[in-house]
Amino acid sequence: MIAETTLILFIIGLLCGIKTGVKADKLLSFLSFTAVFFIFAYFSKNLSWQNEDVFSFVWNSSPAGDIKVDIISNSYNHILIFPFFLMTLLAVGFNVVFCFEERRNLYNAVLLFNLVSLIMMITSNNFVQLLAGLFFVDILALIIVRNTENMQYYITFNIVADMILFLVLALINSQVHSLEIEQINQYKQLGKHVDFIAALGAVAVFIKLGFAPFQLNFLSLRDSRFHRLQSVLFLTAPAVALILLLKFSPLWNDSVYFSYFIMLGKILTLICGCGGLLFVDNVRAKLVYLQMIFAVLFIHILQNKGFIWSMDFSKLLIVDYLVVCSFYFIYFYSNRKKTMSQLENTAYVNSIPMYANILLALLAILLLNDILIKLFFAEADYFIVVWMGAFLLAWTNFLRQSFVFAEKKVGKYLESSSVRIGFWIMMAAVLYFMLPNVDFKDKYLWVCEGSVLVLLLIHPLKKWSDKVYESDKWQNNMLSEKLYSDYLAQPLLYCGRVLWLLVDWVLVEKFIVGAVTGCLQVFIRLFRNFHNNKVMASVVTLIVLLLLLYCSFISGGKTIWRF
Amino acid sequence: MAVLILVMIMLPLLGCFFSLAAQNNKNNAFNVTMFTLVTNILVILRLFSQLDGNVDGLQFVLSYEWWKSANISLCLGVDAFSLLILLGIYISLIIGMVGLSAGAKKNKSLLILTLYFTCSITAFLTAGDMISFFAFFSAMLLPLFMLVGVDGNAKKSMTLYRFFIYNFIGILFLFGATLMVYKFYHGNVLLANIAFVDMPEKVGTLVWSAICLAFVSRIPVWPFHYWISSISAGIKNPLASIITNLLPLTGLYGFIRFWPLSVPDSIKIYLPYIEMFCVLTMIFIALIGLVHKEFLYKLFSYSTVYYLLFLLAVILPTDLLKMNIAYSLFIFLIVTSSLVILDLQLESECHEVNCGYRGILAYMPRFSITMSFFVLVAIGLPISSLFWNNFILVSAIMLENFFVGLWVMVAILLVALVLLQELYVMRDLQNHTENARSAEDISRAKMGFLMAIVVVLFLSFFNPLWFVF
Repeated sequence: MIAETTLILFIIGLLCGIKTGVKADKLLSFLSFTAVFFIFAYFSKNLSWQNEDVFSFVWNSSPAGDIKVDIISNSYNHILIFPFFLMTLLAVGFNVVFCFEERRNLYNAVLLFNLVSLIMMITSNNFVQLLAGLFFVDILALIIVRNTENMQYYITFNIVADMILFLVLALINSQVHSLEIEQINQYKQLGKHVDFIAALGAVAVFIKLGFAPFQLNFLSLRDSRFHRLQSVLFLTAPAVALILLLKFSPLWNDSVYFSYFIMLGKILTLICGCGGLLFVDNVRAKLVYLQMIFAVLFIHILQNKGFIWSMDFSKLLIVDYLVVCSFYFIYFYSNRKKTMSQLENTAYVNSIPMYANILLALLAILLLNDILIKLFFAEADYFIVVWMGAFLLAWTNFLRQSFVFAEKKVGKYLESSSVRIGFWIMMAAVLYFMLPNVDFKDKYLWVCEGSVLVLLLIHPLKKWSDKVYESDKWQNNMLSEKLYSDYLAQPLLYCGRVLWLLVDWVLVEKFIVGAVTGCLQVFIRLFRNFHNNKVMASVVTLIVLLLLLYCSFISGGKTIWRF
Repeated sequence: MAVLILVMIMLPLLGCFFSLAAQNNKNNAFNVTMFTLVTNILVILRLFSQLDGNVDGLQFVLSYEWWKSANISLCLGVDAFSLLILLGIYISLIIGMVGLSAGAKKNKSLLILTLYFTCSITAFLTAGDMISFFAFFSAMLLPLFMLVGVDGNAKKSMTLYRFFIYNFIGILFLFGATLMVYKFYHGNVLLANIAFVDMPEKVGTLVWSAICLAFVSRIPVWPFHYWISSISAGIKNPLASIITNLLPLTGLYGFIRFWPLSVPDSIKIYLPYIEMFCVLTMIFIALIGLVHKEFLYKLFSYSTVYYLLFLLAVILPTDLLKMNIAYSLFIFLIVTSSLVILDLQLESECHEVNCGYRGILAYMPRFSITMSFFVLVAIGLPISSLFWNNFILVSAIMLENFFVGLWVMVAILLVALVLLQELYVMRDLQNHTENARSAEDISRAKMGFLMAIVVVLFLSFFNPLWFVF
C-alpha cells in the first residue's frame, strides 16, 4: 500500500520536474495538485488498514553485510505518514493557489521528493536507508530554502546533526553487528556507551528541532520567503527529528540521563520561544519561535507516551500547521513587511478572509485546548498547564498586534476567483479535520477560550512588547549568533591558526628542518676542518668516536644488529 | 586475458613514444594521451567482465622468469580491488585532461610525463611480487618529480627538493626491506606469500617497519605533511595536481597489499601508535583546512583526512572491508579530481576578471550546479556509494577502537564543514566584488562531461559495480 503510494508520488515528482512554459506550468501544477489530492484521499481511506505488507529488496551487498530497502506498510506507519502527507498536500495547494513561485511545478516536485524521502525514513528497517532518507531530506531542504545569503548557520547546524547521527548509527552498528533497526532493542545488553549515545542523539534531535540553544538553525532563515520557511519548519529537519525520536525510542529509554537532557531542553526552549514570540519584531523569526513552543509540546507528550505515535499526535501536528497557516494568512493579506510593527493593511479587517482567519486561529486553539485538556486530566501533567499558559500569552499577543499595527486601508486581495476558491477549499479542509474532534461541552475548553478573548483585549505584556519592538538594540541583538560565533566558530578557527603557526611553521619548518639542516652544516664544517688539519675538529671527532666505542662496550656485545 | 594486463601497462608507454614523435604546438599528443586512457578503460572493463568475484587473490596471473639463477620471477595480476582503483585513476586522469586549458593541451612534456606516470602506476597496481612492486613503486617518483618541478610552484623549490628527498628515503626503506625479504626467502616472493617468509623476529620487525615507513612516506602523516601540502596546494595545472593527489594512494595501496592479516605480531603492537598518528594528523589537517583561504589547500585537507580514514580501515584486523574501501576510494578519486579541475578553472576565471571567490557562483549557474553536486558527494551525502561504504568503514573502526572512531568522525565533520563553507562563500552575494558578474560560466560541453561523471557516481549509489556485465 505505502510502497505503491510512494512510487506514484515519486513518478508525479519526476513529471513535475519537467521544464515547461509559464502557461503549461500553471496547468501542470494544478494537475499535479489534483493527482496528489486523489492519492491522499485514497491513502486516508486506508488509514485503519490492519494488515502488514513488506516490500523489500537487496539494494547493495558486500562481505560486511547486505543493505536492503524496506517499505513496511502497517497502520502505525500509515498514521505517522498521514500528517506529513496532508501538510505536503496543503503546501502544494498553497503553491498552486497563491502563486509563490516562478516555477511552481518544480517546487511541487521538490516537496513531493521530500515526502518520498520522509516515507522512506518512516518505513525503513535499516540504518542505511534511514540515513539516506535523512540526508535526502536535508539536501531537498536546501533547495526549498534557496536563500544563499543566510543559509550558513542552517547548513552548518544540519551537517553537524547529520554527522552526529551518522556517528551514533555507526556506533550502534559496530556493537550489534547488524544494520537492522529492530536490533537496537538488544543494544543495552550488547552495546556500550548507552548514555553517550543518548546524549549525542539528544543533541542531534535538538538541532533538528531547533531547540534552544540551537534555535539559530532556523532563525538564520528569517529572510527566506514565508512559505518556504513554513515548509522547512514542518517537512524537513523537525519532521526528521520526530521520526528519529520514534525510531530509536528503545535507545532513549535505556539511558537515565536522556530524560534530564530533554527536560533541560524543554524548559530552555519554552522560555526562549515565548520570549521570542512576545518580544521579537521580525515576523518570520516569530514563526520560528512559535514552532519552538510547539516542538516543546510535541517532545513532552511523546516522552510521556513512551515515544509511540498515535492519531492524536497526527492531529496535533496538523493543528500546529494550521496555526502557522493562520499566521501566514495574516502576513499574506497585509503589506508583507519584515516586521510586525510595519505590517499594515486594514482592508482585510473588514473582509471575509479576515474573519475566516480569526475563525481558523480560534478553531486551531479550540482543538489544541481540547487535546491538551484531555491529556492533562488523563495524566495530571502540570507541565501542560504551564505550556498552555505560556503559549496563550505569546500567541494572543501576536494576534492582538496583528490588528493594532494594521492602520492603513491599502491592498487588494482575493481578486482572482481561483485564489478565492482555493482559499475556501482550504477552509473546508480545516473544518473537516477539526470540528469532529472538539468536545464543545467541556467547560474547561470554554475557560481556555474565554481567557484567549480576555488576553486579546487586555494583554498584560502589551506595553513591554511594544516598547521592545522600538528598541534596535534588542531587535538586532542575536544572542545565539554571538554564542555560536564566540564560543564555537572562533575558538575552532583560533585552534587551526595556532596549530598551523606552531606545528607547520615553528615546529616542522623552523625546528625539525632547521635542526636537520643545522646538523648537516655542522658535520660538513667539521669534516672540512678535519681535512684542513684543524686541531679542535680532530679532538671533537676523536671524542665522538670514543663515545661510540664506549656505547658499544656498554651494550656488551649483544647481537641486536646482527642477523 | 592475462595478456590484457600487459597491454594495459605497455599502451601508455607506446603512447609516450607516439607523443614524443608528435608535432609541437598541436593537439596530437593530447589526442594520443586521451586515446590511450580511454582504451585502457575499455581494457579494464573487459577484465572486469571476466573477473570471478568469488575468487580471492590475484586473477589473470602473468608470470615471467626473469633471472633463473637468482630465482627471480616477475608476476602480474589483478583482482577486483586493483581493477576498481585503476578504473578510478583512469577516470581521474581523463577528468584532468578535460580540465586542461587550450595552451596546456599542447604541452607535450606534460602529456608524455602523464603517460609515463600512468604506465608506472598501472604496473604498480598489477604487481604481484615484491621486486616488481618495489620497482614500480620507485618508478613513479621520477615523472611525479618532473611534473611537479615543471608545473608546480617554482618559488618553493626548496620544498620540492625536500619532498623528493622525503619520498626517496621511503624508496630506500622499501629497497632495504625488499633485499632482506629476498635474502630470507632465497628468491623473489609473491605478495600473497609475504607472511610465510621465515625471518628472525627482530629482522621481521625491522623489515616490516621499513615497509611501513616506505608507505607512510607517500601519505601526508604528521609532521611530514608540510611538504606534500605545499606541493599539492601550489600546482595550478589540473593534470599535474590530480597526479600529485594520487601519490598518497600508492602508499595506501602498499598497506592494502601488505598489511591485512599478514603483518607479524611484533609489528601489530605498534598499531595504536599508528592509529594515534593518523587521528592526530586528521584533526590537525582538518583544523588547518578550516582556516586556510585557498580552496586547493582545503581540498588537500579533505583528501588527507579521507586517505587516513581508509588507512585506518586497512590496518583493521579483517579482510572483509577490502571491497568497501575500494568502492569508497573509487568515488573519492573521481570526486577530488573533479573538484580540482573545477577549482582551478574558477581560480583562473577569478584571476581573469580580477575578483575573489565570494559570490562568484551566483553568476555562473552551470558551474554552481556542478560544483554543488561534487561538494555534496565529497562530504558523503547519499549521492554515491561513498556514503554507505564510509558508514561501514566507520562502524568497523569504532568496533576496534571507540575513541579512534569518534575522532575520525570529528575530522570528517570538520572537512565537510570546510568544503560546505567554501561552497557557501562562493554562492554568497554579501560583500562580493562587482567584477564577479563578468565571470564566464563553464562551457556546456564541459558541464555535460561532468554531469556524466555525476551519473556514474549516482549509479554507484545503487550498485558500485553497475558497469560490470
